[in-house]
Amino acid sequence: MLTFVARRLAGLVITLLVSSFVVFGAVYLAPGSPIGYLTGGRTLPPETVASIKAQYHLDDPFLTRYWDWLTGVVHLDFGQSIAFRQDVSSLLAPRIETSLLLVLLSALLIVASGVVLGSIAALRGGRVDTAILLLGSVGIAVPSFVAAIVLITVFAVNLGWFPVFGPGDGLVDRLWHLVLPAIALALSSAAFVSRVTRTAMRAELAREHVETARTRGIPERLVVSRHVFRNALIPITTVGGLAVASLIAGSVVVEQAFGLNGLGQYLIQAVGSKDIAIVQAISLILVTAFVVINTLVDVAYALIDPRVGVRSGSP
Amino acid sequence: MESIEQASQHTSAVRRGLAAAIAVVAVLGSGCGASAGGSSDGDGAADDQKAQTTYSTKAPTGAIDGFTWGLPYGEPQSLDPIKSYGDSENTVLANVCESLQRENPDLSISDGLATFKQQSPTTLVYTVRPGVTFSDGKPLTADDIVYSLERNRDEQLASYWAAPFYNNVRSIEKSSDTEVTVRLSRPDAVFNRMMATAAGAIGERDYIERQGKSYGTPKGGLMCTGPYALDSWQSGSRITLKANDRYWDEKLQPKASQITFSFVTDESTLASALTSGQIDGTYDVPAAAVSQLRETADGGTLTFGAGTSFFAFRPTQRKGPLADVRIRQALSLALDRKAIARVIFQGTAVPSVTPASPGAWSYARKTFQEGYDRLPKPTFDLDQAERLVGQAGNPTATIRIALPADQRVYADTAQALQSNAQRIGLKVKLASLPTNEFNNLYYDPKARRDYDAMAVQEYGAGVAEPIVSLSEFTPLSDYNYGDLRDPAVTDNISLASRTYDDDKRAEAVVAAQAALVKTEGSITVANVLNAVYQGGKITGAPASISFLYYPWAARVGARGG
Repeated sequence: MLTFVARRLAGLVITLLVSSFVVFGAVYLAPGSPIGYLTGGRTLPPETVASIKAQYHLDDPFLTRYWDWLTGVVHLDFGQSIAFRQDVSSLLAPRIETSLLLVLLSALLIVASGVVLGSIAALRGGRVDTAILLLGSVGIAVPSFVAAIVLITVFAVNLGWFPVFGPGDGLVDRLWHLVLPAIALALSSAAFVSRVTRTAMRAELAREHVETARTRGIPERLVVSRHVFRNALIPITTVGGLAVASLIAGSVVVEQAFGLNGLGQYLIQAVGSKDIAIVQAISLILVTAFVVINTLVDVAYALIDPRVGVRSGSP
Repeated sequence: MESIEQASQHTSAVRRGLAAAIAVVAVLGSGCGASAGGSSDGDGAADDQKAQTTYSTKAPTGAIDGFTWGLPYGEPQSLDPIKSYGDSENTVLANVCESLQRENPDLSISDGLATFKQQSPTTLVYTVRPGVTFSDGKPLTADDIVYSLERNRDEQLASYWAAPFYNNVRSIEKSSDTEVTVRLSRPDAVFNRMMATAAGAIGERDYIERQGKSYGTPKGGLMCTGPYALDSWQSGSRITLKANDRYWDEKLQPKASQITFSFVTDESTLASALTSGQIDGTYDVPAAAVSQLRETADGGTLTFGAGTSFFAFRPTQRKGPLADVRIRQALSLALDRKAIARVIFQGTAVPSVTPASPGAWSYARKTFQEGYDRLPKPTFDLDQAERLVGQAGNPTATIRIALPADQRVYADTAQALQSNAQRIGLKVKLASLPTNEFNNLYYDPKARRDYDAMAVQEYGAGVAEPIVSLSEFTPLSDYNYGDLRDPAVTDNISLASRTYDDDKRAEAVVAAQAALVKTEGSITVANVLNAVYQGGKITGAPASISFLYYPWAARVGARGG
């Protein structure tokens, strides 16, 4: 088990290194330069432009800049923002908080509602099943920004139960501000997870060992939890992990619609203004989060299914 | 002069998606809603003229604890006056930092932190106003003035206002303890007016030197003389201003103790925030939100006032079909400006052929009005347009037009032009560019070579001096995207910029304008009005574009009964 986790961690570090190089390099391949942004589109004398370039090391060789950046990153120093002339770390800190809370809240909603609804659909069958399937179809079909507009119009403007925009101050206020965004974000993923849960549970319910357990007189409750649910967990975990990982990228749209000032929205802004340091920092954070989640999912497999991790440490 | 920072914070992907939803709302809204304010079907001339001379909103009845204001173009990049040349920056800065001269709500100029005297055609003397202190209590001195102005001329600092406004300044000296003398290399009738903008903003020298590069950032803050002081700036979140107890102007004491600025750029979210009251008001009301805001539940008001902005397709220096004046005239005739102003701009713009908006007539009004009346009326005539295309030899080359991807008005107006151009036999291709790439076109002539024209909305620095907008169509300006060299325009603008006599200057400007319109150096679509929305809680904000430099927030207070 320990070697399994250790190998996973090694894989994580290698993935991050490669990703960091790709992230750093990709920004340079993109057209345009921060000069236009730094001059505000005004025409400046060439000496001034040259001094700006020197100030931001825009003309240094690529590998030099990559090395400078990488060594900085290891010390959690992501450099300086061109636009705001401040340390990237201080600019990102509040935004990471908001995005993290949003993703956590959404993940909770996705897992809780997805798994619960999917299980109910599988266990009850009949009309309940159809109703939940229908609800799921609507959920999958509605894009997050449309959901955002509807939620804002109904719950924020008309009913006034939630604020229209903003991340809020303090934990409780923040959670209140994030309710609508979390719902908008979770909607399609929750529907998807409920579908997969339903399918997995139904597959397990049809298995022989379940019938056997029932004939042995084991209470239905235990049959469901130990024999059905636990076995269905592998595909559910896979999909759940993918859904949560996709939240990281999907949050951009919701952050924009609700004016949350999170990482995703900030990334788009920084790309538009060629604020290189910010783009690289946020990209690296997102890649790290994605890789970490996948690693956690792998570890979860090992916990759920004891067969995984014992057989030569694969997958 | 364009407000480039305007577009720098939008997200094109989300916008396109929301555009679909909003299009439905807007179209329904424009169909059902009455044509209140701005122009109505075609014959809105009376309304339009009225808006262009509307400068204020209903006065408040009393004080208020605070209010929240929106910045639709997003968070300011910097509040340092030398870097504040955009709507977001100036909307905030105007209440904190004051300038040598003051631009009033009616766009006239009067003495601000200094009294102005024209000693000779090339010598301007500014006498420090006595009794003025910065918000930390230190007195305003001639040293602070010289230092603040000179920052604009320091190449290392790369001030956005340096060119062209400081081009004719030879020296700025402290001529006595209370006097600053500016010597010009030639007469410059625009300079003093620019001293009423952020180009002439004065800050405390000691404080600026102490803060160095951080001045104007969330870390360094500001130290100025205005009715409000910068209280806090949470990057990405909000900016808070606090009333300045030491403010010198008795007649303009702030009525709100605190102002919070929110950076909501998404048009739909902003509209919702305004209708729900989470944001109390905003300038730069997005066209898509207008129909929703005309009638809000809490009695909010949408007011249209004098503006200096124009929307145009500006030909670049490329020698394509647009190099032929007949093709430019044909495209101008193919624009249904009335429909565009009504549907796309939702009544917030007035059809026009000139970049010099009537809102910019702050002197010699009669001369400007006569000049405007003599201009050809905006006409929509596809037959005539087709004839001109024929006369020009029916060019088959594609006309490429670049536009910013982020706001609907650009895409909608360009598409209207494209479909009508097709009807008259011209091939038009639209290139929707992300903000950064589009902004490149403003200062890189090589990048402009790929396009025949750019769709722009510019505001002539927000001052009521048409020379600023019109000079961009001459070699006198770095923003002469079309490399235009019409002597009739250039010589008249050059003469106007040297002429202090208001009437004579207006005559030269009018002559330049006529020449520019005749050769369609700018295929102008409309003059955009200045819109301000105030929710049911507040009133008093100026309706004109003076909000960029006048301490507008000091006028805002409780709406009352």
